[in-house]
Amino acid sequence: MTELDEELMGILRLPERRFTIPRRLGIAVNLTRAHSGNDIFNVLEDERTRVENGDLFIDVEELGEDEARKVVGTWIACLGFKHVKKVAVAGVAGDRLVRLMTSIVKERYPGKLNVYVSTLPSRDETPYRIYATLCGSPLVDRCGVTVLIDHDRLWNEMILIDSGKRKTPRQVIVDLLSTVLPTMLNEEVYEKLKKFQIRLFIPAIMYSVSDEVFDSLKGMLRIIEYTVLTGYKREDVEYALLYVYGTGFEKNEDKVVHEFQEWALNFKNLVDLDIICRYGDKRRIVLFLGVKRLDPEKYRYISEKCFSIKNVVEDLSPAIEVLEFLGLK
Amino acid sequence: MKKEGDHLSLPEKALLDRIYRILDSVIAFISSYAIFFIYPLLPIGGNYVLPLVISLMIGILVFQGREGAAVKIFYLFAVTVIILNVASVYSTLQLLLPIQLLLVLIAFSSATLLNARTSTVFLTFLAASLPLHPTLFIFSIPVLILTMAFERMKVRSALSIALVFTMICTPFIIAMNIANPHFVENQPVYRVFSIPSTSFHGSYSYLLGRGSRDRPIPLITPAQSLWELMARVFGVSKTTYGENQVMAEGLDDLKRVYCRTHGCFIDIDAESIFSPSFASYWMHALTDDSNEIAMFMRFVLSYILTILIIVLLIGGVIGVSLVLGGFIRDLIAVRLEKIYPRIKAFSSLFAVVLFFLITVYLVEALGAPLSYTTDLTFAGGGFQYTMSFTIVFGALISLRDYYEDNLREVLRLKTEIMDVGALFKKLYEHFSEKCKALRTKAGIEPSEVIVARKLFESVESDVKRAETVTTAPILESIMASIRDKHSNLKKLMNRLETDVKLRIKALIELHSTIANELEEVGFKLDTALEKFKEKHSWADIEKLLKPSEVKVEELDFDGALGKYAVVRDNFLDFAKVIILRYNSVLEALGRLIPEAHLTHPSISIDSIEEDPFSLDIFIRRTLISLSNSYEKKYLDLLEKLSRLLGIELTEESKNIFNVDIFVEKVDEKIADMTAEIDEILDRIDRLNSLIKDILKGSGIESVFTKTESNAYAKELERMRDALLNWRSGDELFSTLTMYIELRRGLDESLKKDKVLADVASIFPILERYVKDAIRRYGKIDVRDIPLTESHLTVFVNLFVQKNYEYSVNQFGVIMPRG
Repeated sequence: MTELDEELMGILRLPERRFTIPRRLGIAVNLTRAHSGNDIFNVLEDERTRVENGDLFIDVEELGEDEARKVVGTWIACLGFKHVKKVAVAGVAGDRLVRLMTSIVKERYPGKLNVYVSTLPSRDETPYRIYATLCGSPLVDRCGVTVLIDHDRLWNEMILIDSGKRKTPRQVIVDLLSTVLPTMLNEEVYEKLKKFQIRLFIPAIMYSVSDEVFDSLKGMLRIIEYTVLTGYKREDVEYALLYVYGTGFEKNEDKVVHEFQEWALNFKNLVDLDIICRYGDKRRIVLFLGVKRLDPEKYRYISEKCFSIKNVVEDLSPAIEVLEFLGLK
Repeated sequence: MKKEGDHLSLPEKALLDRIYRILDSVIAFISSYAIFFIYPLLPIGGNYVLPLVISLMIGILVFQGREGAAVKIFYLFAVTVIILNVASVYSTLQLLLPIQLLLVLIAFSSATLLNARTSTVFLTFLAASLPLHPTLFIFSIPVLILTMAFERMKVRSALSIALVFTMICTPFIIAMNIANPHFVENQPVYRVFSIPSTSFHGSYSYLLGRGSRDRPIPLITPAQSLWELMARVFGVSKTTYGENQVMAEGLDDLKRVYCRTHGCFIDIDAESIFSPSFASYWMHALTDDSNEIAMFMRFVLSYILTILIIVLLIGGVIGVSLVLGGFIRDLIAVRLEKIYPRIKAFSSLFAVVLFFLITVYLVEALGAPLSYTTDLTFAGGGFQYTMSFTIVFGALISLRDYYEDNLREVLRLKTEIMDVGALFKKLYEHFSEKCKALRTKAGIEPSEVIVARKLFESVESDVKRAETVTTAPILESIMASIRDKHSNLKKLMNRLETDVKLRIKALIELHSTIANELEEVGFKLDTALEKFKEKHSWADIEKLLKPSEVKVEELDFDGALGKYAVVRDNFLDFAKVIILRYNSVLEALGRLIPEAHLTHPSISIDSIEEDPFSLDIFIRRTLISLSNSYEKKYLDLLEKLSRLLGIELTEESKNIFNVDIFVEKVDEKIADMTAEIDEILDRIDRLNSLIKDILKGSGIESVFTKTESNAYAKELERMRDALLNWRSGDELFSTLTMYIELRRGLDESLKKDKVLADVASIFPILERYVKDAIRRYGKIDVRDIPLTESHLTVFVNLFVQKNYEYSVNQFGVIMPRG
């Protein structure tokens, strides 16, 4: 045990547990909670293994599967949650760490993984990676809500500017997740989503929006809807979730709701919608449109690439099961 | 006697010493030679050569300063010759000899114990020996008198002289008187004392037979000289009969006269009466034997005792006269000095003449009561010689006195000058210490220092000059000059003290006056005092503003000096506070009105430390003048800048001496303003880079979309620099006016740029939206784009700029060109 280890153990008063880990790495844990009471913690891949503000940074490449599992297990134990009701996992699909994390959560909190937020595999991924991503996904039937976001759209099409700075896609994902996850874990919303069995959410986020720029909320919604629905049909939208964080329009909440409902009438299959207005100066609007199935044409590459390696891998069935769940088979 | 100036090494002292040594050596030589000439030294080497050699030796020793050795040698030879001569005289009178020798030795020892000065010893022995010489005996008394004058004898010396005189004379006078009857026929003409008929010992005169007033029995040497006497005694002369026969004959004559007078017959040899075989007779005679021989023996003894008593009486007279003479001489000297100081030097001459006359008178007068006759009378033959001798030597002594007095006076003056010089030096050192204390403790450089230094140098040169000067009047003038300078220095010292006290008063007055004046013109010291208090936590602010009164009259110099230091320090602290405040005011005013620095410069605390009173001039000519010179312009600037910067005008700020407070406010406002400019510049920069970035990402060349606010950036930077480094109130006013104008334009442009940024941020979505609409419907009305009017205009412009294939017509419809 290194000096740093001893020091950390001493500080945290942890029961002594020994891991065989590479020489250059250290283990650091912290009981601090991140994201101010949202009970959301990040496990992020990093060169060194450390904890900052409750987020665990872990070197997946260097650590072996078992070592990493132990580290994450220790970290979760140290977070000290009791009476866990729901667990949400979010991350990039196919990511080794996400897979690991999901696996650990399943083990630790059996039947508590309620929300799984991830991205669809990218069009540029190799077949094996797509296969691995599909296999690594949590079993959708055991997960209450599965939210899949089109990775390529986030990366390629969204120009996101906030407070005079361009946001990175990673930051945008964090913003989206931190916005949507608490809502989705809300009992009422969760039950609604669970009932709808919504597979895909098409998110859109606009920063620095205000009533000074747009002449009306309706017009603004039209533009953001247009952004979201590029490549989709209105008929497929069953659920809409709108966040209005300080655009200036929310001064008149009734009007906002009215205009939103007016706008929502255009969606023929719309089952339900939720509007969350929060006052503040964030000048942001977030729109989630939930669809039941993926566009088979658009995401045909997933199944094609997956099946292209059927002779290479031993068992393709876990991937096929997921493809079926996604309606792509 | 300790001479004046003994502690000095002056030429006069050396000269005096030399004179004394020469005189002493001459006296020693002459005296010893005369004595050894008178007392024959035949048995050991002749009467001329040997005395000459011994006397020369003694003289040289005295000249060399080895007086002790010279006196010892002299005593040795003197005792030898006297004892030899006494022994020769009394060789046959065997009982009388040891008595005489014993008498000589006792007297001799007593004389040496009296420890007189060297020349006194020599002169005394000379005077005592002279009566034994038939030719020189008349100089005996004058020599004694002159010795007294020469040596300025005291009582002890007078007694010594009398004792020695008696001691030397007695044996020979007794011997001569015993032998006297035998020489009656051949009586010499030289007589000192003779015993004629006496009243109280009349029987002796009678017994001696021929004693009468007309024919006194000579009491004189039986020969013309001692040598002749001795030759006769020893049977060399024709008139004597063999060894000691003269005295034997004399005794026989006495016996014959006695037998004839008393009608008795004594059958003894006169010579054998003093033989040891008669010792038992002497014992009987002195006890209780009344036979004829015993009676005769008692007669002889009483005769000898009578002679002895007479000699002792005469010696006593001389001694008393000498003692009296000393007093008389001193009285004369004192009297003469009072009457006419210049003839004081001749007091010795007057004294010796007077004393000689008194002595002669006494000797002559005593002849009757003591029943003796003498040639030492006014009518005597030797009187003229001895008088002349006394006058000549008295005059010489007076001359010596005169010269010596002069020298002593010079010496005394020099000593006194040196003492006064030392006193002056001490006073000057004290003065210097005071000046130093003034300089160090009070920072005063008294002008008296230079004067005192000149006085000191002058006194030093006076003292140096006095060492070489030998004239008493000049020395006296030097002395007077030094005394004058001494008193001047004392006055300077007093002036120092007065000066310090006046300074204390003046400083306190000045302090109060300045404090009042400053209060009147509104020159407040509060802020400066606080700053001062921070650095000097021990300072008493109350006293700094209002000095406490001091009763200078009760202070001595040190007290005044200490108080002055306190008052001065307080004043300097006060000055520091004023300067601190003035500097602050001047600096602030200088920023508004730069020429104030040139016209009303500040003063340094050093110059006030040098001259505290310069603060008053500074206050009047600079500080108060500042208000008069620039108040109008200041008020003008105050009004203009306050208006532009939004500073509230108060009565306090209208006082020019509160300019620093105003400038501080101005600086605060300008700091806010420059911070605002920085923020604006940052915003412009960020806005520009953002817009550039967005537009670039949207595929619009930034060259087409210059932001309006960008044009203001350089001007803003220049203005910010101008505001930060404003050098005068006028310049600041013009800069502020320009800035306000600029801000109006800038705000407008920023609004426009913000619109541009807003539009740019949503441009890609809207562009796609518009293009999609055109693709679907062939055209789109701009009113279908849900933007506000200002944003819409910008969007449309950007859109057509980027997408040249589309155009917008006059009805606000976007459609493909052509």
